[in-house]
Amino acid sequence: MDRPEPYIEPAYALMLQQVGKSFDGKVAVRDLSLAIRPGEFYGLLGANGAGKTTSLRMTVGLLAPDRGSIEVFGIDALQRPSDAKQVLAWLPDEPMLYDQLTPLEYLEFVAGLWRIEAREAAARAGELLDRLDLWSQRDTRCAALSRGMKQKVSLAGALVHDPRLLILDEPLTGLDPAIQREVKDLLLARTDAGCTIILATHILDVAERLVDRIGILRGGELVAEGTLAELRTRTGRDDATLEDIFLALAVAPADA
Amino acid sequence: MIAAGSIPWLMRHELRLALRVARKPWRLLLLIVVALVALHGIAIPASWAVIALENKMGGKINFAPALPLLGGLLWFTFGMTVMNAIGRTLNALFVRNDLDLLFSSPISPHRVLAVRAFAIVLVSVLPLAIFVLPFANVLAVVAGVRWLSLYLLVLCVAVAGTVIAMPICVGLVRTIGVRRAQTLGQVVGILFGLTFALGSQIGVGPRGVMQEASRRGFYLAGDAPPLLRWSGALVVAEPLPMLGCLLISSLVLLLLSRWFGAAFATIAATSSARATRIGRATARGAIHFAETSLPGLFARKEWRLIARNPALLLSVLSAPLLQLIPLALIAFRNEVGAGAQISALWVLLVLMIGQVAGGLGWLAQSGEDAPDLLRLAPVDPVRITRAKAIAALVPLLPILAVASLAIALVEFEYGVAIFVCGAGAALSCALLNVWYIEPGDRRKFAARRKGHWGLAVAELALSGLWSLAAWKAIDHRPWSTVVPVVLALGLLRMLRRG
Repeated sequence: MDRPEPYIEPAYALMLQQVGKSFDGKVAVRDLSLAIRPGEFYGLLGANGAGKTTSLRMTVGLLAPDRGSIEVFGIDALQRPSDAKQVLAWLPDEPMLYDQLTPLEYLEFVAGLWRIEAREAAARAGELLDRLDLWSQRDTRCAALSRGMKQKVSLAGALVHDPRLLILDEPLTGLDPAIQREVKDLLLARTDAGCTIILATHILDVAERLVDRIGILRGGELVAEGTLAELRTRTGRDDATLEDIFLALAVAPADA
Repeated sequence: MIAAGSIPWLMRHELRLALRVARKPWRLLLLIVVALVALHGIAIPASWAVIALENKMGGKINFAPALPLLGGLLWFTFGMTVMNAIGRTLNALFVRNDLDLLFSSPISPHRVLAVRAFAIVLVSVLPLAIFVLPFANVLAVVAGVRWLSLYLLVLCVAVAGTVIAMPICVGLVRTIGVRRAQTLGQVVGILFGLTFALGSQIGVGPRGVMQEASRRGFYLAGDAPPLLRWSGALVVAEPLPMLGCLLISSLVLLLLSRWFGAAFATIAATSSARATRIGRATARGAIHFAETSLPGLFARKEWRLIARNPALLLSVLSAPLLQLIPLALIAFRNEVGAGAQISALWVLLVLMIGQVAGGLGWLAQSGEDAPDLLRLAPVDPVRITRAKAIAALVPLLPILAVASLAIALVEFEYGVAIFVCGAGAALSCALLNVWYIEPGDRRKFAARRKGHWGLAVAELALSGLWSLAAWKAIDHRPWSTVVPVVLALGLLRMLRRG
């Protein structure tokens, strides 16, 4: 009788090797290599147009890279996209919602896409709506929700299938401090539960407080990577804030 | 130089806003010019027919037998104009949200509203004017200047349409809100026009009379309702009574905007805020998506989205309905095949179902609201596309089957031909939308084929070929049936992609 092979956790939740992408001859991402460990909270920083969103969209399979390889928990995301998508979730800055569906219906639809059984889907949807203080809005169509609420519904949609890798692109933009706090708490709870999170943001204060490691992109290239302490060492200032580091590394002298 | 705040200045502002609806206004203007030139070209042979008829009638045309048809056309046109004016009024008074700005200025609200009302007239009159006025011009040159009275008729229809539309609009907004009012306004207009257009055919002699009438220059026999004769007489009326009608309706419009100016302002101010309010979906109406097949999942999603946005469904249905009106007017009194019991109108069901399947196919495939969400799902994109195509067709085929069964109970071959060809048309148009996915905003359904005219023509051609096949099949002409079927399949093969 064959015994099932024991599951071995891959060493990396996400591994990008020499990934590149150009648009009309203009390089958006140049030879990007990243290795993010399971359970890690990784911050991707960069000025506007640095290539953050392009990198993340390639990672989740929304854009095909021109070259390089992408592995999600050991799965070749370019060869087996469906298997890779099964374990990841993506939250863009603009919520991917259906205006005419209610939050509850939206979450159940997303759960259906990830083939989650109905009862389980309803339970997860209810739990997330409750957790994000959206339960009272469960029967309100998304079109009538505020920007912050839409973003929370979108976040709930990203979490409803319990992803192992959560990729967020500016999830806190336009949210009031109270909702920002809710979202941050939820994200920290997810990393505590073993979820890997990659966060692209401009809000440096958030990155400084939440993330374990930081990668800084400039002109489509990874110019620095490490913990906050490692980055401080690199800039030569022990008291440097992330803003100081960002301005020193992410913004080219001519841009500063 | 126009003085700021004057009536011409306000009118210029209104017309500029109307023109800005198009992304490239110059292209819209160019299109209008091209349409006017082309329609003048078409009007020339039409005017020859009028002269030939005039000569045949000994120098003076007797319009009496054609009055019901003209009356029907007038009421249909009037219905469409009311529908158009309701949409424009809703937009100008409740959706555009600029009345707060205008009313907070020192310009009199009465003046603002009066100018806005006449701007609605000018914009509503445009489609009608483009189609009618070239004929008026050519007929005026060839057959006599009295035909210029069509100018007055067109203006009269637009002003009267706006007079009716404005109070309807305000009443609807007060009772059901802006969004539902937009939908209901369209329904009212379409039903209004359809009732009169098709109603004009009732009581106009036995079935088959149109075939006979067309041989005799559209002279109909039988008694038509007096209202239709009276309305038809208005179309060919002398200029003077027409001018009277125009002046009276303009005066009513002016008084309406003056007397009710303050009321309009209050309603507009309160309703514009309500325009953004979206209704709650009741818990009873909530649907559950999970634990179902992929086509089931998408069928539920697509139909719930469509059901919650009736304006969208109306857009899908109204375009084919409007295209079919001229054909329906002829087919209603005609027959095909043994045909003594069923009118030829049902053949148009094939055309209609093909067009509707095309529209629904576009909504499901190209009008997807959250394409990135679906691309992220761990499901083969081909399976999603297939599931969406099935989802769009699922409710159409049973409707077609029920209609075909009802027809088959009266004439078996007729029912079978309608079902087979209807299904062929629906599948063909759905396939076209699977092969050519052009991402677009579903809220702009009417403009979905902008820049993709070839697809619109292909959709129409496929539906038309299947309708032709149905017609010939019912007529028991097997070879004539095979030709359009082969052509439709050949066209599909040619267009196949991926």
